[in-house]
Amino acid sequence: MISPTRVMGLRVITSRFFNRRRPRPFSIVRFVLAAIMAYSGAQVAVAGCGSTANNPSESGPNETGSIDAWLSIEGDIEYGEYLSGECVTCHLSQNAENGAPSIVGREPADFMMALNAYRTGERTDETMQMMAKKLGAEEIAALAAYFANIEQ
Amino acid sequence: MTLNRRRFLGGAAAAVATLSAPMINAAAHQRRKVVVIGGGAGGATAARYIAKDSRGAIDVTLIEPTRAYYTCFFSNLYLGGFKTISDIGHTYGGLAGDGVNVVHDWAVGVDRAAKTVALAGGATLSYDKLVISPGIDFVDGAVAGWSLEAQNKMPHAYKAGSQTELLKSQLMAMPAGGVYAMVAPPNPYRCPPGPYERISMVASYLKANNPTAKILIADPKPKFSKMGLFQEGWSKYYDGMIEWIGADFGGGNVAVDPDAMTIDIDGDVTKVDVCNVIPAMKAGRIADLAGVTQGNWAPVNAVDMSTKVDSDVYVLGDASQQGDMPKSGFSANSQAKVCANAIRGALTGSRVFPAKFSNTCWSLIAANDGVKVGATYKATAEKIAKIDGFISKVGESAEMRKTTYEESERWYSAMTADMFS
Repeated sequence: MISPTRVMGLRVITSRFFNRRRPRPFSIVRFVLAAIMAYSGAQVAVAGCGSTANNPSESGPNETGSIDAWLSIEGDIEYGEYLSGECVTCHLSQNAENGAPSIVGREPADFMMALNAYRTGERTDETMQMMAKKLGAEEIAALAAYFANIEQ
Repeated sequence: MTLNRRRFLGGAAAAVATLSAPMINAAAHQRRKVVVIGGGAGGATAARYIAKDSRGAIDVTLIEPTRAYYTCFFSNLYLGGFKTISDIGHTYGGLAGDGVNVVHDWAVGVDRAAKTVALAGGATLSYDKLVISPGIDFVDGAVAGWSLEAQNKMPHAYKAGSQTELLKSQLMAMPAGGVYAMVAPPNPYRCPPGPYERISMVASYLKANNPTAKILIADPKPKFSKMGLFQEGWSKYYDGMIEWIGADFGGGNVAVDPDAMTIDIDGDVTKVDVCNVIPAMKAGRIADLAGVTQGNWAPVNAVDMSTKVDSDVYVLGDASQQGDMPKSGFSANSQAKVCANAIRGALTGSRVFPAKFSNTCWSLIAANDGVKVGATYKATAEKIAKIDGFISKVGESAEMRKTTYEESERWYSAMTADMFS
């Protein structure tokens, strides 16, 4: 039911737990992550975490910060709309049966964790690993905000 | 020449768009104008994204001669019997619904000083920004003995549609044990793995329907895209059927005789039943007429796909000379989105984001045996530069190859929806 998985070297709880629709998508995630981090006392490396809001393109993958801070980045929906052009070449922009798996209408945290899992190699599809690797934190947050905002 | 309204509205789709959007057209004289020449992966995508994202603020006209567009990508799968011709055919009604004025006509001239485009039907369209995405034409005299006049005897089938159907019918009519010959093109050309996917699909058809037939390839290149993957597949599925003659063995020294149906490879003349001649390529002619080419292609700035000679004229896709991206539908679609964002920003002041490009090319080797190659790219001052990439491996499991093929089918659905709405 709830399975542990590895996020940038840390084991956290994800899977179906993340896939339920919730009114406050971040709250449980944050609680769990905060608890883990408090316990481990660790700073984890997360994708492009940092303060590059003024220039999203330079948001690099190797900065160090907390998952909590990463997940709390406010996504720029307009930037997300532009970036989504690269996604909808394969993923249909509406939910449909004949495209790649739908990425529309997901919780932002789910979306961000999924992309991060391609970055870390935990998810293995080569196309998605390549696409995710070039995205910085603000870009992932922007995409998450944009796709969460689309009507299904 | 003035705009002839009746001709201008020649396409039914364009008429529908106009009737359904009277308010937009009432204000048309105030809107900035973008003309897009060519309704393929580059042009259709650019037109759609500029119209859709500007939400009516920009007047977008797409000029495309054909009412039904057949994608080159997946056209080999039609040859192999994995797709029907209607599976790869698309119309422009959806684009009209997105607010694009679709004009079915030929662009025959560009006056960059006056900023106008002349159409074969007699109309002249003015533009603030012009996007040229004409695909490819063939270099005259590239294959000795072959010219466009011979394309019905020796089809290229490298612009999809009637040529593809002709090649399929010739393939089906081959006598038992007959010979299918291909003259492969020199670099650079549209769809680097395309000729070799085609060979795979032809072989797949022949193995099932004419198993003693042979395939002969004359190639001016010493190696080709996904070569190891194709060769692995050819020996696995079509052992003894395919003979590839590369540059090192005289594959570039070729002449054909369309009347005699013979091919001469480095002095060795063979009588063949089908001869698929894919000549050297260049940018579609309108790019030349617009004066934005240098040699065979149109050099562009990587940051927005504008041409080196005119910042109000953009060239997308196969016709452009941009750097590291292969000439593919996927590349053209990716470039179109960067270009659309830049044009919208220039005309309406909307935000312009950093250029990002990507490409993936899938090829089918046999039923459920798909392979892929892909890369991501960025804009530098000099060119579109590769960042990162991947390619399928030899010896992959059947399950992975099937997954790759299924991924390509899903891409096709999404890609064509992205182009045509």
